[in-house]
Amino acid sequence: MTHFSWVDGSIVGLYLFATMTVGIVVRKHVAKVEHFLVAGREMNVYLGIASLAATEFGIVTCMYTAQNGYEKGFAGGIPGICQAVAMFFIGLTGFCIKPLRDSGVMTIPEMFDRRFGPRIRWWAGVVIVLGGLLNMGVFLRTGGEFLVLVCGFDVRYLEIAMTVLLAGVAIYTILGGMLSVLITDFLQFVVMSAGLILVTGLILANIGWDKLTTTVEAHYGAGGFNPFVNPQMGWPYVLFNLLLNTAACLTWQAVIARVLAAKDSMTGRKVYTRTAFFFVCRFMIPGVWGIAALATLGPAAPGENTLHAMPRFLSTFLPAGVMGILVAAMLAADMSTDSSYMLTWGSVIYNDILAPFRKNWSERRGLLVNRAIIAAIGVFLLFYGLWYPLKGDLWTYLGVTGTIYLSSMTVLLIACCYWKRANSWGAAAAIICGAGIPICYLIFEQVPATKPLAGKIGPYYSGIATYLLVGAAMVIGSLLKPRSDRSSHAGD
Amino acid sequence: MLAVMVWYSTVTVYVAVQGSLDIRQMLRRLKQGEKDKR
Repeated sequence: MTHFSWVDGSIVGLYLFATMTVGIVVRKHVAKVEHFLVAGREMNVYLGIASLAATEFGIVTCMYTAQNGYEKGFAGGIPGICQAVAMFFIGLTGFCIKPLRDSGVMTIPEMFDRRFGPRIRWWAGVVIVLGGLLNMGVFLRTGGEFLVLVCGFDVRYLEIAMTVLLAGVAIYTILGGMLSVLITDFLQFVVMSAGLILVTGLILANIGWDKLTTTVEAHYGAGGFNPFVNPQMGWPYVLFNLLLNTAACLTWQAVIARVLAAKDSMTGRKVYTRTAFFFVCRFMIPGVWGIAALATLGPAAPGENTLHAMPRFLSTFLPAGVMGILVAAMLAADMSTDSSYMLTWGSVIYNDILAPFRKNWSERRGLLVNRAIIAAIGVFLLFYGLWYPLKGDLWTYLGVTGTIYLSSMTVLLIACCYWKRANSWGAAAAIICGAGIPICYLIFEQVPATKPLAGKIGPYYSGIATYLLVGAAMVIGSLLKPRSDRSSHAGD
Repeated sequence: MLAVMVWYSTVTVYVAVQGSLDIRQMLRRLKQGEKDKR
């Protein structure tokens, strides 16, 4: 029985009102497309840190990181460590992000146009949007499930909860674009952080660190602390996550958008180095919630969905009042993620996929089209989120769908920045391999005849192979292009 | 874990203060840019 009460409802209502008001009021500063997509490139370091942290922590993050803690103990935090290490070194060295920001582009495919030509730009845009929307497709359902479980509502209200969440976010994103997103992200970062700290403090005070560690020891032994000896993980899991998270830091549009919106490349690099450790917290804090759920509820029964363990635990553990702060914090987390991601994929559709069609468009028309695209994305998410049957754990689904574009875009970006012989043939080969392999894997998982094969290969070997094959495709494709064609930098 | 919590709490307060200053500056620069254009 949940402790969600009218006090909690009031806290949540107040928070939503404040966020919506701020998000809508700021729209008066949006006069052109550049303001809408990259906030006029006026974002400074600390706003960037808050926005990046808030964007990359949503209810979905909380659910899958807690699920990782519940199923794998402390070892489940390794993806966060991988991302922190990758982000820190990329920020420190400026690897790829310095030339990217210095080029003045608004999206990654725009950078590819200058080196590989407009066709590659277009196909890169399609792949990015495909991978990004498939990835984001589960956000709404997962967010709705969390709220329904924590608040104790009837599960029949899941679709209504999803629709209301999305409508609220869509309104200020459509009106204010990146400006609204940055400022609401900032507010959401503060509320979200307060909630995370408060709930974790209560868990440590009432359950205790000793009980958490002995629970992990009892259920998972050494594998609960060391990912290399965990039977569900091992080196393929760690290597896949290292590749995935490095790629995400370089080319996940929602992350790199903070670099592209920064005043200059040095500001973008500082945002990265100073936000890096946050990604350890991103896994560790909800991971501890998952371990607390394991300590309190015990292991899952056969067939039970482990994704629901943490919200079930919180619904009875937190007192009234604190429950409202948690729900506000999670709504904050989710709204910041949803708004950023809708804007991110919308910006790629407008800037890259529609590039061949938008000659001589006025700023007004550009703003109108951007807003229409975001509305359309919202409608897609609503329907896709209701229908796709999620198999396996959420982090793996996100990793596989993300790999559809991360593998090829990362290889293209590195080649674009640092390999003079890279050309459109290599880029095309990389894009085909990068999209094809994960899509085949997802299909194999669903079709009964190929399901055993998919199970045997596993998502980690499939993911690692994707990155390696995409790199090979770029090199081989580029070298195969006849020398006389290579002299043109504008592709085929 | 305690170190993580202390770090995170400290950073939240610091980013909250500095971030609010960033927002003011950003909006001021945008407004100035609009005025200059007119």
